[in-house]
Amino acid sequence: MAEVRLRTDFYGSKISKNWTNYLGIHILFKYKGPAQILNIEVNSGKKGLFGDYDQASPTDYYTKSVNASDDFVSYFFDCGMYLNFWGERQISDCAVEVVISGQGVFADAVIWDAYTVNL
Amino acid sequence: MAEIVFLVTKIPCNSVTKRQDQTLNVRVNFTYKGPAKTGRLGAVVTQQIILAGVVVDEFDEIDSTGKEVDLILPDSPETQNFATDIIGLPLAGCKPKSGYGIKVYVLDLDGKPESGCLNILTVRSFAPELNITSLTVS
Repeated sequence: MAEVRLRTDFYGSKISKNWTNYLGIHILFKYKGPAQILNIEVNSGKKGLFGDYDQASPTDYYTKSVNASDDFVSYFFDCGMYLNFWGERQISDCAVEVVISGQGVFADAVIWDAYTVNL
Repeated sequence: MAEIVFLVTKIPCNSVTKRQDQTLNVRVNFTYKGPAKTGRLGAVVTQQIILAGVVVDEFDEIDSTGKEVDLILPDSPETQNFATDIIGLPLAGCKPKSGYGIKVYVLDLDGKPESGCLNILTVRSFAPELNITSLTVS
């Protein structure tokens, strides 16, 4: 049977950026289980014609170590990306997607309307 | 003749719950009468095998959990009490469920004395969980 994995939706306040700017991305997640190294993928895009997520940037890859714990423990992860992949296009509903995966775990989240670019 | 007169398995409490990534310590109490001798003392996690409602094996051994330690027995003209700890039986090979037992046994002495306890160990999984709780930009 195919496994259905739902994406978690977050909503931002359309921070104003232009294509020469740097975008800071701040992730908070909770983890419990054995110690392991999680893979974190981050990319940016926008809302597609049908309300889906259209990736526009290359994907950046990171890792984050988590400790063994019986109970949920919160972790922060900060990263960022330059927005030059947009060029001079004017976009009002830029989004950011984060995927965290590891042994036995997977989480996918998008922040819609995170920022505008070149407006 | 060297003989283990009486062999008793003892674990820290009547029932123990452990995760698959943890290990189990077993204390074995026994009595011995005979000359100074060395042997091996082993412990292994067991499970009951039930087929069609009938118990066909009370102490089916889960081999990956087995552990043995050296046993050094002093000259004991009279029956003496001893206790030996067997530390760190790995539980990774146990499926998450209750009802596991423990079997202890002695090697390299006359015969193979063994003893066991039923339904004293529950093993639970250590399945990881992950939730993204916040995503913001600046």
